[in-house]
Amino acid sequence: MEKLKVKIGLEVHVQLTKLKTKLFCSCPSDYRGKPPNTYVCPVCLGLPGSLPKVNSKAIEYAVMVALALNCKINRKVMFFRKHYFYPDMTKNFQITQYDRAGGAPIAVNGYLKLSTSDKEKVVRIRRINIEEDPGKLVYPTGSIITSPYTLVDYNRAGIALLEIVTEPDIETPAEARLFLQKLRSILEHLDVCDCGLEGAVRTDANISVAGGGRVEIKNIGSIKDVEKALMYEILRQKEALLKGLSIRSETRHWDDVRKVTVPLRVKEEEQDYRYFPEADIPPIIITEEFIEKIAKQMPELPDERLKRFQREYGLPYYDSSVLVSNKKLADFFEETVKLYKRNPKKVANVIINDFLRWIHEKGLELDNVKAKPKDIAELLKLLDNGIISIKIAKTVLPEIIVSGKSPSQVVKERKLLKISDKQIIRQIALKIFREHKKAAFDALKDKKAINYLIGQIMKYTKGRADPAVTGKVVKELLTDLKEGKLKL
Amino acid sequence: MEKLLEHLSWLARVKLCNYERKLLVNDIAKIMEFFNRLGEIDVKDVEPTTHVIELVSVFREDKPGKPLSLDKALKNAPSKEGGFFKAPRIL
Ligand SMILES: [Zn+2]
Repeated sequence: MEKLKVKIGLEVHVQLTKLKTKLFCSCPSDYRGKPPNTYVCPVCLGLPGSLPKVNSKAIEYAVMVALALNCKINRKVMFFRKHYFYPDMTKNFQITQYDRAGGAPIAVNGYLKLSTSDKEKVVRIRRINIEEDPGKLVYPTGSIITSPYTLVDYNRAGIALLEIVTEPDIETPAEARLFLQKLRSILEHLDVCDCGLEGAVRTDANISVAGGGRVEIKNIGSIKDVEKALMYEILRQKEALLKGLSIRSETRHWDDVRKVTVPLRVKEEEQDYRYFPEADIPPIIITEEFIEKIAKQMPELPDERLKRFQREYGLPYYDSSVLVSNKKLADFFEETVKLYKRNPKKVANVIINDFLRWIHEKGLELDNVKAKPKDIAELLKLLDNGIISIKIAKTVLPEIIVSGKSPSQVVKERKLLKISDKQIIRQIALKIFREHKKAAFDALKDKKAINYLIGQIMKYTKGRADPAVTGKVVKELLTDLKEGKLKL
Repeated sequence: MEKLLEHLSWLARVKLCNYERKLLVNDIAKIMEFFNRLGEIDVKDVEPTTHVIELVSVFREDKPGKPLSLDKALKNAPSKEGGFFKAPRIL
């Protein structure tokens, strides 16, 4: 089957987790792990007579994100009521923004450049809305299907959200992942969202294959799952097309347990939401001076940081891009370099090739890794000073990642010091020669057998024997053996 | 009008009995007629009025306050369980 044209657009909901309070009330925003309905007040419960009041910092953060995504910022910002009847909002409407009926979202017409080493891709940003997060529904049996009733926790209701909507410029699931990774890195560099928190970033993806109907996939919780959901959906739609079926426009739900998309209830149409201006919140005027002030305070963003890493540390493009794709990783690298200035490239190698691999292997996130930059720097110094071998360094690394012990502590506890004493290695080598007589004689003419002997010595010393000294000792013993000076 | 009423009651998740339906169909017809008349006015060059008070940019500082106690939060809830509000099954 020929390659079908795929068009993907994303709608990313980002909680402004760095705010201390909700969007329209002063309830604290760190609701995670708190008992239900203990972070609520008359405003976020929608009680009659309560008056929502905009968190000024939320507007500041939204402008920062808009600038980082190269958007045009509207000077008059208004909120609208979007009506729907669902228990996640007590008021039966959500306060959001609207681009019609005299309204305008805070920002429009931006773009985000994705670069891979061989090409640059521009994804246009259609708009950014500020809105309130709904409350959380809990199903007593754990399933929406079998629960006889629903429980509602409004601690999350009213948390400030940005809804970032792209044009359908994305062409593959992998590009969608790249977009989200870059967006996440930008948000973390701006310090407006701790994207690793559960539910802090939720994505809806819409996709059409070969001009078929537009299918919207709701509620995808992680970047990896966005890629998976899109791959699933492309396959599903291609198969349907192959069977001669047409794809109808519909909304589907991402089931993150079974990793499939399933059709969702019939949704309201836009006119059914009966959008109208939120009369309780006066318009917000965003002045030129305000935007300029924020623009001046903007922190370094991933693109600039990538260039600086190449310039300042002499790193290749690839290394720099891997590091800045995650702010915490880039911070970790720079902290380590501060403590190990002599070779930034070596630091990058350890972090990208070994450190990251072990984090994935152990199923960890950077946040819960116990090893600190000073530990990585110390490990490199132990290696440079000949105290441990590279092989030992590679076994010490996973241990410090999990245990939080310093490398020298691990080396001491597990007696991992490098053996470079020629006498000691000679004794060990002799023992190995005697245990593997055939190999020893084979080694006189076969290089492979030499490597086998060296391998046995390494195995016996658990990798602690200095490779250079070991090589030399084995050579000398073989010469002695050849000349009859050594009896086995 | 019957169809519109049916759609509205679906949106509002409210079931209507025949008697209510008869009453409401009349009401809705009147409301629609009124709005249709409003719709006839030419507002091409008129800025939409979204707010009647001339206040702008009313802000609050990002300073946490004290939330309600759980008792108070749930006080008016017709149905509750384990600190949660209890709502009907949704599908
Ligand atoms: Zn509140």
